[in-house]
Amino acid sequence: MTDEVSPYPVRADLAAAHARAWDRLARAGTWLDGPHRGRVAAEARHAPGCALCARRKAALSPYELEGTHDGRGELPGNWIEMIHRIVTDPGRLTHAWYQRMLASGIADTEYVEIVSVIAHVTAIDTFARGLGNPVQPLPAPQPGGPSRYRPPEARQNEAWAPNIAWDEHGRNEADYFAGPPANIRRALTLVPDEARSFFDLVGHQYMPGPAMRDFGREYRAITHAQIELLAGRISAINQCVY
Amino acid sequence: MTQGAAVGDCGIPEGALLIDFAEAILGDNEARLARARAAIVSAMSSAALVDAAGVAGLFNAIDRVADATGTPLEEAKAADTASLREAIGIDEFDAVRARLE
Repeated sequence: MTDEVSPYPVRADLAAAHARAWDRLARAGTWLDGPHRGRVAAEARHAPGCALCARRKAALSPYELEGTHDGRGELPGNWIEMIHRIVTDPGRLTHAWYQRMLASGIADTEYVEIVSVIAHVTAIDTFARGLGNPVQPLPAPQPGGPSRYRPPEARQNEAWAPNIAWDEHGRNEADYFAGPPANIRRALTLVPDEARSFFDLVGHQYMPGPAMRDFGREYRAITHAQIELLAGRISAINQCVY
Repeated sequence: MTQGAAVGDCGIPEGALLIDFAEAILGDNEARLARARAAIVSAMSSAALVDAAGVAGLFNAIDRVADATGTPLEEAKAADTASLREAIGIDEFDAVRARLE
């Protein structure tokens, strides 16, 4: 999809990964149906213009300020709070805030799927911005109901959200838990299809797992060192210490 | 935070251009982003710009996955980077975060 409007040739594998992500975004997920996934994506795009989020971003503590978000009016208030905070000030999210989101009625499974939708849209929209392209229209939601599959191996570990420990996965997730363990690969595994889809993007926008530590060969038009410098700078600006 | 040319290139070829691109893509100055984009194409290639945009976009997303799910750093990575994290003050972040509310 992205290369259709880009003056810069986009690798075919990357364009195909974006197309797969957009197709999944339109369809029912594991806990959200297609229309809700589309509304989450639209709210994520809308959040950077929220006046309350701007005031919170400028405040010494974002939790000092009460107010109402400039939402699109398509989702419950607690969903809008969750989406806006993750989009506009992710580095200052706290465990207490996460627990409040669950206490407000967002199930842990819904929470993880919402995080994943935000992440997919952020990755693809930021890529488009980098090339000077307009963001692509969101796909039309498809009918169908969510599968509601919760892996029985998922449990509370060190992270806030439950996930599957690397050596505890079941048969259904054996395809996913390959290669060296990494906590970030576990982050979305409460909703395994979201983890699979996001790390499909990782493999094409960044590098496939085996390539990350293969320093004897370069897989991209920028080197491993250049990639890590750029990635580190992005994470520093976002105040992400993972 | 130190920004732009003050950061230097970190000893990596075209590092300064990539740092400028990272700052521009997350900022709201469209003219700066256009300059950063053009500089990468000129000094490196169009393919380099595409891959740089891919990496920047991906990490802008994965940071949110890590932060929103409370994903901890692996123990081995934390041990390997302990002295560096202490030296540059990253260890303070968690303490500051705990005091936010």
